Amino acid sequence: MDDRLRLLMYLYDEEVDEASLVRRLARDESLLREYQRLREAKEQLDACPAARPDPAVVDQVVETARTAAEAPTGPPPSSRDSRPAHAPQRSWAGRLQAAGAALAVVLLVGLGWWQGRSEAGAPAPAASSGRSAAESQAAAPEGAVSSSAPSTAVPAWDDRDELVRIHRRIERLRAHSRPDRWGSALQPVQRP
Amino acid sequence: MGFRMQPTDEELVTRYLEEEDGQAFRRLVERHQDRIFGYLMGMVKDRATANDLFQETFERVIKAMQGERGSYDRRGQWLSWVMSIARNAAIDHTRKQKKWKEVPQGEDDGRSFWDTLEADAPYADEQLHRAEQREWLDAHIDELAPEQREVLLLRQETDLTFREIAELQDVSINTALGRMRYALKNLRKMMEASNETALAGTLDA
Repeated sequence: MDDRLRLLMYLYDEEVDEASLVRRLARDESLLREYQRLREAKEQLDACPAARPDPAVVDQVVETARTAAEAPTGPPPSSRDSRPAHAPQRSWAGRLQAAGAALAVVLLVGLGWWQGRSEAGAPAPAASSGRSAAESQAAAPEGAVSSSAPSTAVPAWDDRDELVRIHRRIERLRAHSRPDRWGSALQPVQRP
Repeated sequence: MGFRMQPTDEELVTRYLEEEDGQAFRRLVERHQDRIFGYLMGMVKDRATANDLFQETFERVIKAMQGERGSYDRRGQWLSWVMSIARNAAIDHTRKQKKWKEVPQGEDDGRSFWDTLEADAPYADEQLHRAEQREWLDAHIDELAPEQREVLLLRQETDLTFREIAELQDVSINTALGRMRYALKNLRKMMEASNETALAGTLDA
């Protein structure tokens, strides 16, 4: 480090090889003059009164420090002390249990209702009526729902008979509209 | 009867943090108030602003020590750590005020150092003389280049070592020493010029 910079550390009583620097000052007149000038400037600065903050500001700072030291690092004591430990966890567990039980009851009721509705709405198997479709078709009069079948086995709105009726009607219409019904050979029209 | 040693900064810090000892913190503040405030005063040139920055600095210090903003872990260098916070507060302020480089050199802000005196200060004549001296010196310090002025204030007011100042400013120690050398040399030149002017004025009268 340059001697002129070391002078500053010496001037401010910082760690420096003092004996070496003193020897340099004794031998180098320009260095000694610089040291004297720097020291005079420093003495002027040292003579100035220290600036000090307002006492009220210091009091405010200390009060802030005291309040910060006393404040708990966690949640406020009021919120911690007003509730038993782990109360939020127990509350949530209870709520979940009640919700689960309610959901199970709803599912059971819904399943039961669905099963009952399915049984009531399902078409009766052919064997249960004791008659096949062909038999029904043969026995039933045209345009009438079979009265021999029990009403519970074949509902009135069952469309199978209706389809049969429609089919028969179509067949009748086809038979009536055959071209040879009025003779296979067409008679030519003679113009007068 | 033995003498009782003054507690170190770290002992006071420990008492404050671990025993919630507010008086220990007060001793810390009172021990270093002149240094911290002197630096802030030199930077902002306004007593009310320096008071605000002093309070703001310690609010940041307290939060950091209590672990709310980072944590204080630089054991053994409490003042140096506080000074870095004070410096940031001062720089923030000067940036906001755009005074860092834009204030005309040597311009008076209209506020006299008289205003900084305590109203009930004793020995009014002596205080008056010292206030004049301080005002005169402050005016010269204000004429220094910003980087020179800051090193001068940090070394003279806060008593940080040049190595600590270099660390604070993130420069080499030679740079910090070089700035200080020019600061003192320029200050001395200004003082000489001022004295010659004053002497010339006296002779003319």
